[in-house]
Amino acid sequence: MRILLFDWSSYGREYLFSALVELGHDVERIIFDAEKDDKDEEYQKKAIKLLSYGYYDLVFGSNYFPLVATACHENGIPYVSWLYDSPLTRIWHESVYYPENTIFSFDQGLCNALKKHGVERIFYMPLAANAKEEDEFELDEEEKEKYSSDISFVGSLYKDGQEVDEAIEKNNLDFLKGYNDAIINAQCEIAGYNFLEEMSEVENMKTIVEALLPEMVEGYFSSPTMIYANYYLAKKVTHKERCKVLKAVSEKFNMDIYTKDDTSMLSKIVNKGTVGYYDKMPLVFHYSKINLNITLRSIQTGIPLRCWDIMAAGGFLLTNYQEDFLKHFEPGVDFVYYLNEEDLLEKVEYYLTHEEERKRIARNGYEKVKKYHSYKTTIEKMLKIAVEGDCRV
Amino acid sequence: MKIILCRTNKRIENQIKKVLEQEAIEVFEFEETLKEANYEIGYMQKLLEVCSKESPQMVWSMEFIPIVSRVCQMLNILYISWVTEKIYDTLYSETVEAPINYIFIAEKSIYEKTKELNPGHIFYMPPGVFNDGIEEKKGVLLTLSKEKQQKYLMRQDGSGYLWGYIKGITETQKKIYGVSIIEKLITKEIEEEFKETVYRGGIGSDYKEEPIKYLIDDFISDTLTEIEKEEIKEKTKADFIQEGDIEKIGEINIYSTSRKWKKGLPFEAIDIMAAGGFLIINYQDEIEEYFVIDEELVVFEDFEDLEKKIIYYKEHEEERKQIAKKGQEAVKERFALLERLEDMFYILENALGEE
Repeated sequence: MRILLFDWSSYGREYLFSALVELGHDVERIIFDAEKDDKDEEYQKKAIKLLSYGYYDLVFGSNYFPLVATACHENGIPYVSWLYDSPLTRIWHESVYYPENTIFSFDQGLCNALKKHGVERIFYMPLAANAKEEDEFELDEEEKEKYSSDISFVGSLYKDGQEVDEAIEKNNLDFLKGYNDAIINAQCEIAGYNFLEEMSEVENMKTIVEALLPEMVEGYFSSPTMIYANYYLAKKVTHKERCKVLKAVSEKFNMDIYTKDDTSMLSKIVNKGTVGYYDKMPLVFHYSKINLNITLRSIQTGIPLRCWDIMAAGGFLLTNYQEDFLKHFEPGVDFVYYLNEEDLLEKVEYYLTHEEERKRIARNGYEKVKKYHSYKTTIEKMLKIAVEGDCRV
Repeated sequence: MKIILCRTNKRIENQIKKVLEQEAIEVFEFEETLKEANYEIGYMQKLLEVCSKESPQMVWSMEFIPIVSRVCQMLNILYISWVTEKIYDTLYSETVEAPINYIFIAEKSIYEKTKELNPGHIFYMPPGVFNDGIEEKKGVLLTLSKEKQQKYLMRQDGSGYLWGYIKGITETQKKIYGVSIIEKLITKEIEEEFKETVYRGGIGSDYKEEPIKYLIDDFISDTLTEIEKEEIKEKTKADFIQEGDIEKIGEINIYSTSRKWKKGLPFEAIDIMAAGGFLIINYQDEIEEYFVIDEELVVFEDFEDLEKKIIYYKEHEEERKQIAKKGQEAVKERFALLERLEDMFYILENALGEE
């Protein structure tokens, strides 16, 4: 097939491209400016024109863009979109109902929500990872030492949401502030059930969303509560939770973090700065005894990309509980999950001292990812569903 | 032995009378209407009179009534109360501390909250039932808890932050059955401000100050119970609704507990099962300790789940009857009122023996 890949600065874009080529398709990449998506009319016209020549059989891209969907719709060309970000407001755009779309989401919770809203061509598809080969980890002793950790965490602390905080502060929205704090504290207490989106719309919430996130209002069918929950509350909860968990772990064990964020409030943790996605991050995962995952709270049931990358690098994964894991992996065999802070500390202690078991689990996770979850296998499945209507995932 | 039973118009009082009489205990029913539980002088005089005339060994009631305790203290008679409802604020009356009181509490979290108010005299005693049949109707019957509402009064308005926070906790708890997270979410600041803002009404100067976290917990639980009552009425589209004591049972019996009844089944729910009624109840902590879910009773996780289950069990009569039958057997075996009363007498004997 002749496939046009709408390419933008997403993680894994290189793997995506190679996999499409490996599958024997004629792939053209077009660098897409996501910022111009549904706001720039000229850009939209260009996209429609590009597809009007009838050269491409199918358009592929990670995440979902209303502009691309519209261009495909105007020309009757199938659009395959693979969601890997959450939250992703664009998915709540009215264009999502176009019959040309086939949308795959790594989060079963999001699939269910979209289905409830009448979106028919939405399917669950987990993210993918290309398993690394042993020789990619050959390092000299000094380098090895550099990337070794007892426990490590790669990711942001999500200090987002300041603009909302400021607006609340400036306008004395005390009721909303109290409401936020209670919801955030409650969600931090409860694992495995995300209720942020189900909260009711309290006074001023809509005003805040309209004032601060105007681009998410027009043409979108998501409610103000949904936007507020995913773009503000979820990040606040994640920030609070990550700080709390990292503090608890780093106070008892040797822990490294790879992040751009300031971690001065976590006095015992070693902040090693950022790490390159393609070259250095796999080394961190490979050489850490335990790799921690704390999922961003706007992801409902899905497995975050970090987990796939950990397993693909042969790393041992210790994660919070996310329901979709059980579709593909066996807990305690391929990966390990924790239920709460106390459980996490016990498991860190246990797996630091049980090397054989830890290595065996990492190996099992690696083998499964290699066998079933490479980009090639996953994309092949998606194209089958999109083109042939084969829904056996 | 002779017992005076101070009646407050509860179904369980009839059942207790029957069981005690079967055990050859004489029960005198004191039927004076109680208008005010603490200082009603008319009630006190009449009870004093009856006690002097009847010379009972004990006075009983199905909630803790301070004025009854006062009378028993004067006459030095044992006062046995069994708190089978969610209202327990009278336990903060100073009269609770008297050694003649023996208080049994049918709900574990209320027991945990109050046991220190008179150590060695307050015990946990789950509900028991002696049901000898009740009218059965066709259709879906919804039973809701009904108790006199506790009063909350305001000293001042309170900040927007406080009410926003309270609203947040209420909404979150609404999503969750079987686990109470209210207490975990109450911060020191909220506690302080709530204390300045809200207080319990109708409480005399001889009352101890109730820990503020319990007051907030009760306030939120009561608010939530009221909201949920309206919602469930709308959602179930029941053919009949009854509040409080059961007067009849239906083919399908839905019960929604008060949010203050955090653990186990309340008396009315057990009463329904004992009468052979098929019960669907909101999921509660500790249900599994007493019952096999889906074999002896059915639980719902939220209103959506409840709606589905009503439809399912309307269509599956045999399965429903089977569950009701097993449920009835389970209640007869594990919640026999006679056994509860025997346990109470056993505890009393031991406690009195020690003193």
